[in-house]
Amino acid sequence: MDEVTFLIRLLSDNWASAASALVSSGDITSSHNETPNFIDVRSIAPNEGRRVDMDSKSVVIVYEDSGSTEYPTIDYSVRNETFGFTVHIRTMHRRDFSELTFSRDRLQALYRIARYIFENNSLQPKVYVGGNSGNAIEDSAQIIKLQSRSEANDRNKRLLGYKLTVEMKRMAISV
Amino acid sequence: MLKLDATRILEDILEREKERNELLKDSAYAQFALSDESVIEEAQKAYHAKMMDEIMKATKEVLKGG
Repeated sequence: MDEVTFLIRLLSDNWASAASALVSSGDITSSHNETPNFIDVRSIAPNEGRRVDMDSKSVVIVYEDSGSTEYPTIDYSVRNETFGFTVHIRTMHRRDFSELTFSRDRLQALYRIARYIFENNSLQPKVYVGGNSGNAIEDSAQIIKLQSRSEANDRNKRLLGYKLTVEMKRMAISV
Repeated sequence: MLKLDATRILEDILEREKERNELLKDSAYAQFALSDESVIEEAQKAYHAKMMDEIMKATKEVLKGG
């Protein structure tokens, strides 16, 4: 499993339970308990300009921005890897929403859910076969952490967005 | 000594951002693709972040050497 797929699986497999936990704790309202579409732009099929109505009006797009490798031992027998990602959360700003701030609140809720997943999986993040933690581990890393957030709105397209930078490390991998 | 080809870095980032957006535009998720103006804004932000990162790395190297 490549690293972008791992990150998307970590988010998508844990999204529903994280959202439920945040609704229960009162951090987000149930009206914002929505699962977005998770996108790896490298694997989406061309659609020849057709638009598809989706259940969700939000997306989470994951890009890998950097990857570095170190060999910290004198015999080069161990590898440490560090990956940098951009996680771009985008939500449609629609005129027909009942409240003027609905899209803003939706974006905030999506951010809180993503943050919750990163914070609760920061050490030894794992992805399981079938997305079920009762199954075998499909892939893992040592550390994943949310590093920053910046606003990334697009007024022309009526999109609201947050751009997150995320770092993941795999350490002490035997060569 | 900090030696960076700033123009090349900016061109690479701009190309990357445009390419990513084009892939999205050409998909079922086209409605979530950014406008051309926003792509340039995002590229500028990424460029600033990259340059800051490079300057910090270079500064650390200089301090180590001192």
